[in-house]
Amino acid sequence: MKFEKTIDKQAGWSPHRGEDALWGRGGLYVRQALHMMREDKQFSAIYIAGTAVAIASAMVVALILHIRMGNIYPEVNRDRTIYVGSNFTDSDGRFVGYPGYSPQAVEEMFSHLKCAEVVSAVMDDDYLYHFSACTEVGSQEVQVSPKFTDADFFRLYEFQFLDGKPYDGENLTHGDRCIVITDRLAKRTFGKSRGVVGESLLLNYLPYKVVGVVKEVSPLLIASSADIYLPYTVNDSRAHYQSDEVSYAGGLKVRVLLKKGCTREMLMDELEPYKAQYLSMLNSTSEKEWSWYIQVVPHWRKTLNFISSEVNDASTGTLLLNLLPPALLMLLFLLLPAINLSGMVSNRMESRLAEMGICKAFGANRRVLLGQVIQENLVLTLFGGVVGYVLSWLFITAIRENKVFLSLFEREYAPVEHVSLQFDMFFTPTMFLIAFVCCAVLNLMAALIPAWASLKKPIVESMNQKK
Amino acid sequence: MTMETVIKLTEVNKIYRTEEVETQALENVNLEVYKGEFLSVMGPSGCGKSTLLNIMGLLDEPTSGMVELCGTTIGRNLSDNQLAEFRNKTLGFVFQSFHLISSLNVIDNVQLPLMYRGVPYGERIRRAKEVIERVGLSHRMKHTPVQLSGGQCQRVAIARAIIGNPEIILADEPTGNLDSKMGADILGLLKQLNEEDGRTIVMVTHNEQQARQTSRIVKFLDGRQME
Repeated sequence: MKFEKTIDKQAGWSPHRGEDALWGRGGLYVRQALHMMREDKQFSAIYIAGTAVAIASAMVVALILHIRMGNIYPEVNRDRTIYVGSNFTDSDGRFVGYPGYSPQAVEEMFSHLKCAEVVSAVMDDDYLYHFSACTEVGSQEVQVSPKFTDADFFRLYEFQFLDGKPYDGENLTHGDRCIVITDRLAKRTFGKSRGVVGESLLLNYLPYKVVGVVKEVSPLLIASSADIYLPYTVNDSRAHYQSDEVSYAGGLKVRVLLKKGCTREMLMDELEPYKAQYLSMLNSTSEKEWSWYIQVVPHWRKTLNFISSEVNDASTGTLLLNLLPPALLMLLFLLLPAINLSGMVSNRMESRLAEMGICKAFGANRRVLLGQVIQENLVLTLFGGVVGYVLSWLFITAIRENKVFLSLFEREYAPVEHVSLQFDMFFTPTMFLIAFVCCAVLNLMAALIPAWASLKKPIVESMNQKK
Repeated sequence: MTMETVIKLTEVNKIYRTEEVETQALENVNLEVYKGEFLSVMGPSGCGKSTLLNIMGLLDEPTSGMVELCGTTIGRNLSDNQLAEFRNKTLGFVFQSFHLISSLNVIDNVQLPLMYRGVPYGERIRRAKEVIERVGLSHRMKHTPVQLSGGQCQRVAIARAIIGNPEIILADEPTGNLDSKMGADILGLLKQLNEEDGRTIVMVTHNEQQARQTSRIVKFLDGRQME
């Protein structure tokens, strides 16, 4: 092309678009951004603080969702975990009074499911039981929270065994007094977390044999956390999990780990014949007319209970309607600081239009200038991000024992004494990256829109823009 | 011997329109600037001198007429990128108010045109040091514009204008903000660039005495070229 030939001949330097040139340019922009930060300390401080608050807000929301829905130790298969509830109602509309299944129902209904990789039954009323634990009579007692489970509980949740192993089906069948304890409890009672397998621990003054020690689970993970794990058959009050009136009704909640590729609907289809058969048998022998509702709830739906208890059974449309108000609130919570920030960035860009005009006069094209705006903003956002990250840590540290905060995670949450929360559960690099990217995108848009508008003006107009 | 035309304006008009008024800043301007010439543009405030320079420098578009720079007709046939490249390689600007970037130091301000050209970092720093030395500011390379006097700022602006080795330098009242001694220094520097390097310079000025030191003067009044 004639034009290009002409200017190349006049250039004096041949065009070079090498990596070195780009790095040099990026370095200059970073230096410029740092200089501007020092020059306009007030703006920089507010900008960084604003970004930090925005990122911290995003992270707090993200961590609430992450704790409730993410795959976290030992609940690393939440995406495939289904909670199967049960509700028998008689013709008068009265509930049977047992919130789950009996061991008989678990055995007959769930042991042969094709789409289940693991089926585990646990007592639903753990929170009613409190044990005092000590190594011998007269020694210091500590209050502990139990979880009554079957042996498959340790297959459904991938506990990290620091010592020993879980109890097995035989232990469950015989109601053996054997327990798995957390490393924290082991330290508190035995003074060490290893080498306690085979030792005896007194629970309410009855001896239990320690068969395994697992890494402690945060109490926020209500489905799997406890200080001690016991076979549910050691519980004397068998009436708790077996109804006299309806033999399938009991105190056991069933959790199913679906095989990969299987769905909730497939599980429901498999359960349907069992339901029909049992109801038919029940109604033919009982004086009452029973109906039976089997609730099949994926983990993510169960976690939304804190928003509305209706979500377990709602259709997708109703679910979305239920979720809309809290989702909008959350969005507002996230967007407010970010929008404020965007206004500031936008104002600042207006004041830099003259500079952009100068750059254009000396040969910068739109792409280069927009690139500069992006890099400068990323530097500031990065500073804000780091501060925001630290702020979120401080925030969580401050409120992690707060009951109101903890109530966000479970309605029936029962605080466990002396239990700490693991930070690695909250602050995954992915979460920070998502929060950072959200803020960066918003900030960039706020900067890019006035920059783009200015680049469309004649250069002289931009240059004469008052600073 | 025929002189090579580097800037040619033909029937150039520039009208500024607002909702209420229409102002004719330039009216049927026909002007040729030749290679190696040092041209002064004079006239009272508001006569269209700066508008003329902005149009020559592709900083503004004429309402009508044709602009030709170094044999290339400038118009809507050129993309934003091509215009940017043209400005970068063919034109150098010196402004009355310097228009240096306050957040950059001297060497970074000066290397800017080469950065946009994609010249490697080491090469552009070497070249920036050369031109800064030439304008006598080697000892101020790491200073920012606020740490410099007006005369020093204008020297930096000149260094920035010449670093890319452009064919044409457009200077809009380059001594307007300087005292007479500094003004004389800057004019001397521009004359040196014209005489020693053979650069074509178009300078807008109010100063008759300075204009007389250039090779040609054109005068404007109310947007029209008078002589």
